[in-house]
Amino acid sequence: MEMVRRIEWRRNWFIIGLVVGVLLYAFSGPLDEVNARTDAPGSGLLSLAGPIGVGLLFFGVVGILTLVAARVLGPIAAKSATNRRLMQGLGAAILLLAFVFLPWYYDIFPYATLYKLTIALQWVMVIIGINLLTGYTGQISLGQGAFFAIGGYTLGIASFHEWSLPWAISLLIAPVITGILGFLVGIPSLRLKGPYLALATLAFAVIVMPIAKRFEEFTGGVQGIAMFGKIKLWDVFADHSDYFWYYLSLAAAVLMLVFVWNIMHGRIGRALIAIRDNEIAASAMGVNVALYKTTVFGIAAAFAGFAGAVNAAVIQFASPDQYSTLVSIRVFVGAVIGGVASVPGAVFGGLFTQFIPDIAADVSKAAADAVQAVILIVFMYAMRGGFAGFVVQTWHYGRRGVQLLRPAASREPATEASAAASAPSPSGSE
Amino acid sequence: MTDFIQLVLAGAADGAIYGLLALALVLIYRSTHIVNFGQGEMAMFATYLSWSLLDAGVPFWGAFFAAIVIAFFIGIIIHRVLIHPLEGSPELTIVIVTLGIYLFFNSIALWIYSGVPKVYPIPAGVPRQSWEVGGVFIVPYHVTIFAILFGLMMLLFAFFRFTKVGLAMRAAAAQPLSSTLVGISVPMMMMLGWGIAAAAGATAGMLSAPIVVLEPNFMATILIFSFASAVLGGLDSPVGAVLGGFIVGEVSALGGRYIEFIGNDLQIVLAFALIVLVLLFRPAGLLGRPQVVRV
Amino acid sequence: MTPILEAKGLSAAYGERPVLFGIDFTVPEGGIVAVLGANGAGKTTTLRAITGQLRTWGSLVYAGTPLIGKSTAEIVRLGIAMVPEGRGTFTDFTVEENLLLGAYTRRDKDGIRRDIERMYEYFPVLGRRRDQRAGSMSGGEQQMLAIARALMSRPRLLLLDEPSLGLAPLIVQEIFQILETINREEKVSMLLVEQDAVRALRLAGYAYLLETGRVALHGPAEQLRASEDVRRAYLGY
Repeated sequence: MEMVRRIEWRRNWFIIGLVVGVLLYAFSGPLDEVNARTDAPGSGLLSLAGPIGVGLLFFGVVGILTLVAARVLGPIAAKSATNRRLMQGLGAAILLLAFVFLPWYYDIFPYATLYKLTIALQWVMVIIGINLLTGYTGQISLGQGAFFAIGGYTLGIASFHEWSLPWAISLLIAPVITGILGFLVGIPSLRLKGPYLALATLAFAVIVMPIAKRFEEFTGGVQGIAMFGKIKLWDVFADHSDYFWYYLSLAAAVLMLVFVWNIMHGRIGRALIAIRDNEIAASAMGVNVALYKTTVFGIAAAFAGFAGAVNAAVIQFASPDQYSTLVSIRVFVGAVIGGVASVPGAVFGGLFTQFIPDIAADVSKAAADAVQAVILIVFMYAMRGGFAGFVVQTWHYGRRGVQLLRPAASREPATEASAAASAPSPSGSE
Repeated sequence: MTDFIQLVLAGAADGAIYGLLALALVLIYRSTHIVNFGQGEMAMFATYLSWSLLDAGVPFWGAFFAAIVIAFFIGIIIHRVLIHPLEGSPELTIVIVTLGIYLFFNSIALWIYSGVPKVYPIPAGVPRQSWEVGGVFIVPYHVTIFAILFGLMMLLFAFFRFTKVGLAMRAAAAQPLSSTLVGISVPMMMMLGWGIAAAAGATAGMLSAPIVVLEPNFMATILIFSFASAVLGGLDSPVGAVLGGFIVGEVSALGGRYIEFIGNDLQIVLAFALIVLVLLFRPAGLLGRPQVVRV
Repeated sequence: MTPILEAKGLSAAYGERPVLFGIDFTVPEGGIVAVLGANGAGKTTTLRAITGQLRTWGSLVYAGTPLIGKSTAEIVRLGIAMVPEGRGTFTDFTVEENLLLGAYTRRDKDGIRRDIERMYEYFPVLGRRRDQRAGSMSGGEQQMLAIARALMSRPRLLLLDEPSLGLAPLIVQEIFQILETINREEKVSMLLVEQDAVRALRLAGYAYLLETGRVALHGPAEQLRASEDVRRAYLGY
């Protein structure tokens, strides 16, 4: 008991989790059968073991790899700025290659299909926008699903339902329209902060569908716009349309990331961070706060709009059913769970948004959303900075040195000597 | 003219319900500075619980008050288990957790009660036949809603104004540190606030269920109207929330009728327009107190 | 005299940053003790440490009960009241409500009523403004209200943080006189943190001088008043 109490849980849970995860995973075979046999209330608890095992395994592996990387690569990266940049580049390249070759090995992952991964990349695009908006200017938007929907409808209306522009042109028009719309929505949002902004944007997400249904001649009303078989790819891709959309989504997501990265590492990025940290001080320094904030709103909306258009092209459908308010909520949750203001966070968030409903449905088909709610609440407790925050914290923890047990003398009075010793290290994470 | 009065009455009945749920939102916002996105779903779930009790043969008012008490404890437990441990966390975290509450109750209700709408009766003893007064039909159930709203408002007013716990709750919301120094347990007061809010929300849910239908998503739209009401009145003003509820109720009832484009299914757009207008011209709401921003 | 509060090797930290390094002090039952020192010496920290608002170590005993590890609310219930720096009144509440809040830990309704009237005797200005919002009163009146509010819990020990801060000299004099009366008539022990060393040393029987989180000097008030060092550094004459 004393031993258990002395483990530094907050920092080492994933190592212990890995062990538990392996055990759970190993023994979840018979449990799967239980799950398959019945979906009566209560069976959910039993079948939790498998997914929990997988989850713990995932974080155990990620955490330990991060620790190892921090121990091995950390000192090299710390040596010079060039080294650090090289390593970041290397990491980005590995991540990119992993996605480029994903179509050849995705079937080793549970739940994954090329179609779902393509859609996950579209969530990644929306989340990159949310990252920019929330992570860098501190604005909460629960309305990105609305732009996503407008993007989808733009493709449908412009290419198939009302006019017949080439679909590729419509794909490019979609972000322009949603971008302008986002800019306009951003204007009233300037006056709003925190919960007010969250409420107003949520309300925006709620009203879009009733309005779409009202303009029936354009949007097809409740029926929506079907595009089955109407999207003609160029001959080269015609037989590989699923690959085509996957790589198009990947390329778009990468372009957006590069775009955001460039923004953030320049003058604009500094201005945005100044705005997030202290808006009044920023405006006193001559930053045009209003222009920056509305522009960022527009960019985020454009990303969501493009993602929505590609999504509609992949699904070949745009209808009120697929754009419920929950879409807005789900992508926002994905963004926060991934960790705002970070590239790996956006990628993780997109995958989370796409696959967590599947995993939850696997635990309990009847109450999938309840399972999902529990998963995300547990997530918020275990990792306040989201997935990205977890990786960053673990990296720093690895750099400082792994410590499995709490020092026995931690309740001793702080003496002057220990105070002097601990003062410079920013270990205020308690 | 009678048509107009008729609409005003119906709008006021809706408004009373929006005001009640808005009151719940405001009670939580005042004490914990959290906007609880799960408020409507908590109310929906409590309404289902009362339906179960009715179904089991419990008399109407028995089920009504039992559900309010259960909702009170659900509110307390949610604060204790989910919200309190997150004290001092970033706003995003708390927003996500309340969204989690939304998903959780929505899904649990769907699981237990299925999506098939249930008929929820109007309270026992309330006549179904409308009264006719000078060509205007007065629905007795609407009068019941007003009476309950009014009674609840008086009760809450008296509680916050004249009881020791009420005074302490107000103090804990306004100045947590000073409250601690006079021996008030601030977390306890916040917990009570969540309980009272959940009870008020449950009341709103049970009152609106006979007007709309009882199904797992029935509070979602009402929640948006209530958000509009709360923002309109000022997120920290209980009186403002109720006033805002009436305004939103009237605007959507009259707008739905007299603005052709709006009709019955776009009233929510009016609510949204109201939010935007109010926030543009009076960001703190009609009765809210403007925040002083310090650099 | 038996001590009502005794600290031995009391240390405290804001998060990871230690600010008090093992200080010793004693407040005798019924006495007034002053804590003096420059800004940042740890005076306010000492009061926060006593009321459990920080992480603390060492020994801190109040009337036989150890306080380390207790929550603020528990400590207040034991009979310690604090008048925080910058008044600490409930600004949106009326004078009367403030006093009622001060008596939050008590259950005796009649006693509370009687005490409220007694406070209006000590501070007549509060009696005249009983229905006024605290935030709309002058600084001096708010300070009086803060003291009255603290007394409403019937404390045995009153902690005062800079009661003279930002007030006109005449008002300060009035407040200090009332404090003396209260100490005499109600037998309330006091721990007074002050910048205004002259006045503090006149009111207190014993004083401690803090420097960067340690006790630099202590002794009976007259003795400190007479000390050359103290005079030059803190009394300014």
